[in-house]
Amino acid sequence: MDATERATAADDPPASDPALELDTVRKVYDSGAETVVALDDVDLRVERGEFVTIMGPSGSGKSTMLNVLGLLDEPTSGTVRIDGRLTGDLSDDRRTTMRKELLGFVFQDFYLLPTLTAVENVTLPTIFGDGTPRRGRAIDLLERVGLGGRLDHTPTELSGGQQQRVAIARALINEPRILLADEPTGNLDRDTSEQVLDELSGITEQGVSVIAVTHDELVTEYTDRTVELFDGRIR
Amino acid sequence: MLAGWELVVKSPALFVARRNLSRNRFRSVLAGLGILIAVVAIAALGIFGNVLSLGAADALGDIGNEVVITPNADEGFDELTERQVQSIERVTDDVTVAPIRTETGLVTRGTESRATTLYGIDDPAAIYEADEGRLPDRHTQGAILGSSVAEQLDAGEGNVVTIDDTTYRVIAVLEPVESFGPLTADDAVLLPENAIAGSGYEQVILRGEETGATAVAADAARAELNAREERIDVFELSEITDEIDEFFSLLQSFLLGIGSISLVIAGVSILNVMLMSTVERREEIGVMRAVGVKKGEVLRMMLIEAGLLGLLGAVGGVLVSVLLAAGLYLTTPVELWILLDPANFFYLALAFAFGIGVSLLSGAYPAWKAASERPVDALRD
Repeated sequence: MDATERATAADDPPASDPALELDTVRKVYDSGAETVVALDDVDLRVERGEFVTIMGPSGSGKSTMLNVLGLLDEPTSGTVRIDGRLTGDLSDDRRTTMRKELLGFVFQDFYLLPTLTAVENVTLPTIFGDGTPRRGRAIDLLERVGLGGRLDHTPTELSGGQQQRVAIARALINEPRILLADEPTGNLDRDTSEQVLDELSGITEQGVSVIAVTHDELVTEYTDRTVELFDGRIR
Repeated sequence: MLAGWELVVKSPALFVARRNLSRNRFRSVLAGLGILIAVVAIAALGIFGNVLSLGAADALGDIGNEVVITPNADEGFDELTERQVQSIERVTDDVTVAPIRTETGLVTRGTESRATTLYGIDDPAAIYEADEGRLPDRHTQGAILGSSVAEQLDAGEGNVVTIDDTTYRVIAVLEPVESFGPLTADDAVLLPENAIAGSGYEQVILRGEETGATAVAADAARAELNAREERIDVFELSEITDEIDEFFSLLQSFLLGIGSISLVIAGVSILNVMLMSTVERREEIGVMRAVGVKKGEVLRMMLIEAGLLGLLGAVGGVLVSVLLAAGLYLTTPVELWILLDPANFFYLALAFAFGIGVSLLSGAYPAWKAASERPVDALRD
């Protein structure tokens, strides 16, 4: 694994396309009795290599937005373009494949598989479906996040910060265009948070966009831009 | 570790499934144990029933091939005449017709004596086997002793016995009869036909190589002799064996039914384990889906988990069943050929297949449930 492979996204698609584009995205939850507008005509454009924080109070639509960006949920109306590609009206399998190829996820609770070692967790997104499992790249990524000595440790043998760094390595295994982070520092102390945020901003230098949803003011110190959501609208 | 890595490349679903089962080893073993017990229940009960049935068939011997014709006493006939026997011989094919005269008499050797049934029979070799000496094709002289008569009188081939004032040399001793038959001769003495008073016969035995032939012969004899009057009673022993066979097939179904109940219970326990597993791993499966694992791959993974539990239990169950069968062989007089009957292997295979089938069936719903949950729902707190 060499530097050119790590340089990921920047090469192939036309440079003019943003990494991600939301166009008047609306998400309405209709639970019979009441209708909740979680996202109200949201427009958002994230450039390649940009580090964006999405902040806002609880119930402002942050999680919905992250789910829509992550192709985990479909908007009621409006369009989501990732890497210049429209993502509407796709089968579940197509969306799953797009998530695998274009997106990386980092969660507050890390969500590593407890039965797998660090290196197996990082390799996990590559072992299913076509293509060869990328164990070499997994080892490489773990070395990059400073866990080269803990490849065969299981999650319970790792600290919270280490687990989150394993999760970041897992998110990067398929060379995504965008890394989506949901409260990435939510369960970490300040020192560890800084290490993780250093890691995330390091990624942006290789052309990967990072979008973090957070309550943590510390995150904004590392980001290029902060988007504030309030009642489903961007302020 | 290398083997593990090869498995990842070949079948990632199997790899992850196996790791998941080892996570809660105790629970996995318990679920496998349920299948194991069910497989043992089906295999062992199936084999047990089959062994019983074969053992009984063996003990019943050839009686299914025998028909006993007796005069119809209700209508006042007390013997079958020479002519009637000849008509029976004329109308039947492929069976041996053995007319028998019967009387009781006192057999004496030295100081020992006992009352026995005397059979006057022309061709004893058609029905009986000798333990000592040789059975003549035409019985013209000498006495043939049933095994217990011989034992009681301590008589063997070449000895002399007195029967109702006539002296006979013993020309043969019959084999003890282990199976149930129409003319159990253990307590009888066979004499030449003309040694017994009378001109008719008390019974005629038809014996054929196949049950079908004797049944045909029985019908022919009935049609010939009972055309105008009910002169004879025809007793087909195959009726008894048919009923015994029916009983055993009922017993077999009953035993398999019991086995199946345990299989259903084992299936429910696998269903339970898999459902618990999907609930516990809801978020993990959500994450797998989020990072690009497709529905079908999650489904396959969960099915493999259930299938592995089933395989574990079924292999163990077959091993235990084989051990039980070996134990049966060592501790009871069951003969080896009965245990090696193909039907027993069929029950083993059946139990094995059902064990795995039920596991997959029980795993199907949890697997489908896990695979079709939207990751966004699974990851929402």
